[in-house]
Amino acid sequence: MKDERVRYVDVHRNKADSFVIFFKDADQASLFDQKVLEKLPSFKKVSSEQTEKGFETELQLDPKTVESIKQKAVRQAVDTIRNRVDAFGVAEPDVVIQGTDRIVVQLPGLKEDVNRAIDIIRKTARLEFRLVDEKGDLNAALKGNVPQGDEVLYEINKNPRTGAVTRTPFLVKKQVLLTGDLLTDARVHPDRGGRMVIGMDFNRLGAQQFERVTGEHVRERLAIVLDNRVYSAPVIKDRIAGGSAIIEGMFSPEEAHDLALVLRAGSLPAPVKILENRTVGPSLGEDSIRSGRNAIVLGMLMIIVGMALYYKWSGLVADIALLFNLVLIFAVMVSPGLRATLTLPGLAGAALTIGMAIDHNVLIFERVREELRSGKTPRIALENGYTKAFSTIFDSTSTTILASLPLIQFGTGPIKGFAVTLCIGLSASMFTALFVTRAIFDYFFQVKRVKKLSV
Amino acid sequence: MELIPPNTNIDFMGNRRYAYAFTTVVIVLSLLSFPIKGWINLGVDFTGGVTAQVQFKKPVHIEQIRQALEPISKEPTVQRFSLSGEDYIIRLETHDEGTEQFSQKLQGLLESKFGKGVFEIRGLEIVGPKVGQDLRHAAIWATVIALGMLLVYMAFRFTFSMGLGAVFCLVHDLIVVYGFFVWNGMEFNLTILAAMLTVIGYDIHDTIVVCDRVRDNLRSMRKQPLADVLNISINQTLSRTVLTSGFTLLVVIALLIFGTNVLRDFAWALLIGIIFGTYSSIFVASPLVLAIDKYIPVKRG
Repeated sequence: MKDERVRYVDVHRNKADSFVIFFKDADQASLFDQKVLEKLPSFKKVSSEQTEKGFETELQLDPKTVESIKQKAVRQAVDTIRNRVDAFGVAEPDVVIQGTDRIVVQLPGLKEDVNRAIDIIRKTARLEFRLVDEKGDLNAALKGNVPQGDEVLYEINKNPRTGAVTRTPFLVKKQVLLTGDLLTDARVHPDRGGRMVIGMDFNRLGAQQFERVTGEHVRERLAIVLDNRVYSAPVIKDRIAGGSAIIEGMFSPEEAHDLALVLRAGSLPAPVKILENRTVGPSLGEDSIRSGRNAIVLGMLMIIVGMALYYKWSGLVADIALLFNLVLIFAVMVSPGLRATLTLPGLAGAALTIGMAIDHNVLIFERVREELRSGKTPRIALENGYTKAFSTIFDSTSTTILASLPLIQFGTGPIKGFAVTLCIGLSASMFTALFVTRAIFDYFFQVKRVKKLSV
Repeated sequence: MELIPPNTNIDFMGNRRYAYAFTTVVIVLSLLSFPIKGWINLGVDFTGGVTAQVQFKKPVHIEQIRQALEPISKEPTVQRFSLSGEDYIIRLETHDEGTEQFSQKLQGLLESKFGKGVFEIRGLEIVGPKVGQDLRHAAIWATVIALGMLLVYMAFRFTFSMGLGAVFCLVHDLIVVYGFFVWNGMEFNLTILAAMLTVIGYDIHDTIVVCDRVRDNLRSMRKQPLADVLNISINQTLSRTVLTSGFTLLVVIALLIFGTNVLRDFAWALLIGIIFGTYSSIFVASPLVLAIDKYIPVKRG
């Protein structure tokens, strides 16, 4: 707007997706319409009218743009959060988008305080450099008469010894001169008085802008605003070249450290809300996983012995297939991206898969037994058994997979894990039951020339 | 070794009246839980709220814990869940969407009542109300769509009436497990949902096995009445049904005996679901196919 020399009085947002511009008179407003509006294809003029203050034009973003901005914001937030959680040093942090506007963060084995971790993740960390309005009347502003283009922000200080909190108001301009995006580094160091301060370095563009801003506003105060809170508002004594600045404030060492961390990692494009928080104490997690694992191992052993007893040598062949199947499932489950499946629902998926894998073999062997009873030779019986069981196995596997597809679509976290495990497990099991056991039988019949079938 | 002798011929279809009676009784019993015991006890996964597992190092009273929590919740549910140690489960509702400060608050309140180092918050789950509601909707939609797709697939690969039989079977099993949970006042949470889904998967599989045999036999026994074909098919697959269910139950019983609290509820859901799932694929699906044969005949040949 500046480029086109349109003069306006104030701009403010009135809804999430629209804002109002105040002009001195209708001429300026129509000038705006001609010169600026056409360059903003994603905005639509909703209204424009003469009011007592001047001329108002309301602009609204079109829904498509709102959508794409939202998507971009979520993606950007994921990147930022990923940068931040990397600093925790847990083995495998996981940050993924869920649905359209939710982000799931998993920090297995987090040793630090969970609350501190959440604070670090959710901090918007929007760093802004804004001028203090020296001409405006702060007292009038506090009574509600805020000059246009300004707002009142507070500096909040806590005395570390007494715990007393002081709030100092500042009248700052809304215009942002410089943002934290242009930082290359932020670190904590004590100042001469031994207090913790955060030193920041700008990149080249940032340094240039910082130099220009400080040069233009000598003897004015520059407020350093982080998440709408003023941290300090030093007077600019002289043009500052070199591109570095410090944030003062009464920080504890932890606060200063966390703040430097989020500044380094970048700001979140939009505020985040914590909707869900699940913390499993290490001992509890271990307890239930250990007992679950033991129970499943025991159950498996019983199945393996049972199959061998019931189907003799063929049972052993099925056991080999079962173990092979388990290896396949776990190989897929530990692959990155599916790690969430190692939860109870994941375990349930695995248990169901084992049950069905057994059943695939039972189906085949029962058919083979029937064929043998009707007087077929072992090789023909085996052949027919596999052929006839195929349709059963195929149909039951496809229906079960079909039924778990909506779960992959709608399910969240662990339920999705369950469905994914089930699909993978069933496919693996169909493969082992139909091909792996078949290959073992063929080996004995063709290579070893075994004549009898023990089933 | 054989559990079921090869020429077993139980007249399932002839005696299906008993099956009808039993099925009706079970369903009525399950549904009766609703007027008597009320709505199912939904966990925080579905309602939103807080579940905390706290272990105390010295004996405490439930009343003391309630008092400590007074500032944040009028009626927290406090339950002791192990007989040996001082383990408690605390459940309370949260109404605000933001949950960030909650764990600090809880820690602070318990500390001011019992002192530092006396307890350990071993697990904490905070679910915002929006998330809980979304999960509830997702669960319902997923079930409806899964049942719909099953019906279409069965109608295409088998017959429409068998599809109806299978869907009815599933609904039957879900009602039974649901009733079991309500009667016992057990909590329905994400884990139990997974168990229910497992039961559905198991039951679909079981029903398909019988239906597949029926489809197979219909080709070779064109002249025989449908009741006979169904009977023969069930008898032929009986040995497999008993064996597979037995093996699966072995794993579930192991879970029931050796699992910790969380696992035990899960194992119960599986146990009930698998027993009734096996029952329903024999005694619910096939009789239904026979009963509606007059209206929706099974195509022969």
